[in-house]
Amino acid sequence: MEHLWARGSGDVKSVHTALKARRITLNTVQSTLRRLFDKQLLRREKVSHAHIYSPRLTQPEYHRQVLADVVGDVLRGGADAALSAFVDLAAEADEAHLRTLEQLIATRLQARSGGAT
Amino acid sequence: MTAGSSLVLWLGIAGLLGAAAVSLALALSRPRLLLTLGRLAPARRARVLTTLCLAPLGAGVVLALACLLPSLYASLWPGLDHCTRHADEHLHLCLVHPPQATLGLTSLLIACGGAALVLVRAVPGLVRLLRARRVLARLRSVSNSVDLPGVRSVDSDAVFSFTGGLLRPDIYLSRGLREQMQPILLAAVLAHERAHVHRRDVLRRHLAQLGALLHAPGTARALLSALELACEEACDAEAAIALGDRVQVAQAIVAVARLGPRPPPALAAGVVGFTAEALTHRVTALLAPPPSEPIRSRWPLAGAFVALVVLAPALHHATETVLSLLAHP
Repeated sequence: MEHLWARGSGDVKSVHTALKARRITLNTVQSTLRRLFDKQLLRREKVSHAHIYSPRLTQPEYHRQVLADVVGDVLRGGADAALSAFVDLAAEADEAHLRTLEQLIATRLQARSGGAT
Repeated sequence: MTAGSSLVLWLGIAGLLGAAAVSLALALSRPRLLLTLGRLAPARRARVLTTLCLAPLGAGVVLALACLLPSLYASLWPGLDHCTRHADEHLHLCLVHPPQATLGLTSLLIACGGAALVLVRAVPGLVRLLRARRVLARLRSVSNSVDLPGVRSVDSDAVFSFTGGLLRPDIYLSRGLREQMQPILLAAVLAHERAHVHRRDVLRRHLAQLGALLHAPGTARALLSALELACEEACDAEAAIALGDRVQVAQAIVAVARLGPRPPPALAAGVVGFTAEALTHRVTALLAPPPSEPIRSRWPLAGAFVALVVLAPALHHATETVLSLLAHP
């Protein structure tokens, strides 16, 4: 993805050449690009016998989408088994309920400042 | 089947029966027990509830070990070897004279049924844990570390904060929370999360969930809910001590609840009772004078160990008698 974001587009061979230092085969690059296309992260067009791949989203757009997906997962309780939230992420706090609690706190603060004077 | 594997299997069945007995006792005494525990200071309550969640598992292991103690005594002092006094058909839970009886249909059903039940109940929790680890790993990769050690910032408008991770937990604060909360209340949130980290609450909850697999489903749910509330209250209390102000922590809880995300109606319908009640409980507990925390003593633990050593022969005989009934019904 980073190579395609930097270049704008590329075919399997150009991506493979760019990633040669990682010692991965042409087939691996080909199947990875196909998977990214299947996941709607890349678009492709056929030029002669080769597919030219290009990113559907810019890098910042992609990061924003991933972040929104992950935060959505967390707020829907997808990570509940491995976290302790300050206030339960699925807590329903209706207005009347919150106002009662705020009133209790205000009364306590008032009593405290009354006691201090 | 070799004598050694036969001994291990019979000890396993003994452990399973011990776990079932403790689980049954706790299920029967649950309402009164939870009422009594509610009067304890939160940190102590959390410790007791964790112990209760693990009690059936612990009882099973302790009973299996206690059954072996007399034969250990006998190997140290041969005069204490009592196996020869048993009738021939009596099942021996002994390292020196391992049991010869093979598993009958009843004992086989108990062993396989118990193990299958525990496995079936463990699968959903394991799936949830694996999913949570995957989500947290993704969240970690898209969050940034900030100046404060162990704290990560999530670039999201939603207002939330939590401690995530089993062995090396991190604190996650959203940008929405940092921007919308007053600094004084944000300090309370951070102090609360730091308490979770140093108390290792996420890990504690996991161990408790593991132990709760041997409880009846209703008892497991009640104990785990009470433990979750006790952990939150203990962290509230620690944050209040760190800041020197209990009301400040109560204000932070209500502020986060007010600004926090609203669940979809379908989700809220299932959780509103507990969470709304928990919110009120935490705030009112902070507004009340703090309960006194008694000094921790090692004497009960030492007493339990001495009792185990002394009572081991009686436990050993009682377990052998019950297992003999299973072996020769």
